[in-house]
Amino acid sequence: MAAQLEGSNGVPGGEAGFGADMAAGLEALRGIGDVEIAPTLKDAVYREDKLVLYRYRPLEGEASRTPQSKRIPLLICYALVNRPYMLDLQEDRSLIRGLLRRGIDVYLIDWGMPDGADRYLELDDYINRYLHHCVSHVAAAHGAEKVNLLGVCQGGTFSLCYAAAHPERVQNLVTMVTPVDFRTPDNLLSKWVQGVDVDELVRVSGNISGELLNYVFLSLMPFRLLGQKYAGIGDIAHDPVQLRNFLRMEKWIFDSPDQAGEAFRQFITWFYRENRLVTDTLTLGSGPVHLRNVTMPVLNVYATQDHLVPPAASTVLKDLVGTPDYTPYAFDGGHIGIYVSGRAQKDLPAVISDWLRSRS
Amino acid sequence: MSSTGGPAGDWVHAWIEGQKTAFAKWSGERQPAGVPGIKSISELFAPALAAAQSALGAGAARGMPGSLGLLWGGQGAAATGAATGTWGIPGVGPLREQQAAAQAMASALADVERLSLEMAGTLARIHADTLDLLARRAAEQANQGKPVEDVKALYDLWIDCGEVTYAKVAHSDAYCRLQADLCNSGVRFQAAERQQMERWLKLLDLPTRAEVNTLNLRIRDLQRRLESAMARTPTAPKASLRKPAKKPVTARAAPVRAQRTSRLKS
Repeated sequence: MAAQLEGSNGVPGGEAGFGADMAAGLEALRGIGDVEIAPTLKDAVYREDKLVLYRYRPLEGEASRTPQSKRIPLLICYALVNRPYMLDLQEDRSLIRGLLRRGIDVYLIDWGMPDGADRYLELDDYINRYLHHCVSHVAAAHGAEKVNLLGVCQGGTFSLCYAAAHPERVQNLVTMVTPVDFRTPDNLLSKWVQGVDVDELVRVSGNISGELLNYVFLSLMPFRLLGQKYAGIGDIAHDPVQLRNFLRMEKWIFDSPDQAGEAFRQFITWFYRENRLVTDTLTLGSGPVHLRNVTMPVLNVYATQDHLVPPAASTVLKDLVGTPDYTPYAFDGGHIGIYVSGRAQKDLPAVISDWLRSRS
Repeated sequence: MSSTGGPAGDWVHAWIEGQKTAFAKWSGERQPAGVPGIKSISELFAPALAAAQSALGAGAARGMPGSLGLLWGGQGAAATGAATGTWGIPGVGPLREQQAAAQAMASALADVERLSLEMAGTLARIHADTLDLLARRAAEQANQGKPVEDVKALYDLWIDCGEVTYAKVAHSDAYCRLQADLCNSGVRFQAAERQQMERWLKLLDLPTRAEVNTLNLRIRDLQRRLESAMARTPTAPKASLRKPAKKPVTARAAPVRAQRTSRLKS
């Protein structure tokens, strides 16, 4: 900003300065071209319905995988909301590359994009069927009974449920920005859904569109997310690298899968409304889910400025799990920064890999 | 507001006042309840609704064969009833069901309209309160010898004030209730729409969403029964009917490469 120039309308810096920056930003976007995402090489090793399980290749120049494969692999369970390539957005913003670099054998579940044929998928299908089959596949591929499981956001909630229902299959559990208590006072999303007739919403709408969810998420902080973020384009107009980073984030944010209707209905009702993990009343399929059965070591990573999963929603886990080996890790940032910020790239892979290594 | 002066003079004050004036002009005179004078949705769309009612009630029905024409005629009659204020009267006669469906849709639309206006009023108040808070914050900064120095700084301060104002409202019980009611009324309207659409599709012997749902449920039920039966069979694979990837992709096979995004997609 040319802050000290006097604009013709008496505004310091001039409205023209702000406008010129914005115009330069938009012009720069015009010439930026395509952006690449998910750069790390991976192989599809298992498919079921729309789910694809990937195994990442070792990074070039890094240690051979052979000795690593004898270690217990890490299976990452991402959320149904948004796409999992956020964990490998670009070379210098990739939790997955950070883990590979530290010798961890990484698998990732891509849930795919549900359509009308998936509207009756239940949480039981996602957790006790899809996730269970992925765990079985990965374990069998390594001649093991157990895997290390890393759950992210809603995928963390799924991973907790899975670990509670199948503790014999999980060696170590890592949860990242994972909601456990869905009724904390600062949880705006939770307040909004309490009065929504989700049964009727799903009955009428079937799957819940990703676009609808995007609008809900944006309306949590509309001034920042719909205004300030785009006004900032002017500030990075002359930096193609930052512009590409910006576009990758935009791609990820709005590349939103629809949510299978029945699973969505159950998630809102059982978690956001009835808070069943905390009240210890959750049942999936024919079996109860008690967090006290989570007896394996747990690393709980949460973000101190998370507006989607407030810290209190996550840290309560300590009092609910049955393991004596519980490690909290507070990341100084927000729900998005924990994936892509420079500090996250530096800290999180090391925290997770060191924690796993000390328990292998 | 002269306290917002300082080195930058009164431009901040002038900008804020300009925003207030522009907003007032946009939203028209405020109603006593504080709701901006936005015309009702029905009023805005009155000409189009009238044309549609005319087509539904007369021309469209004449142009359609058999029961479909009767149905369209019923829709038109119901819509006309809604327009003439008789829509609250329970229907009788052979078109009773169609009238009831149209009445349910009209009722849901009326709720959507009322709640949308209420929401618009709430958002307008947030905007106005944001400008008031912005004026106070700018004055405070000026009094502390740190006046807002340029447009970008003023914009950022407006964003901060907006989020503070919005958060207060968004966390309130009243707003949560309003938003939920608006959502629920929209769903009721959509349900009524779908009911009408399904009736038309049945008349044309086209598949409906309800039928597809039934098939989906039956397939799911069969799938579960089959999995359950296979799990009880000692020789059957334990995990499921599902297969590993047809040919598990090995490290020698072509790996999945980076995805290229379309330039304008996002």
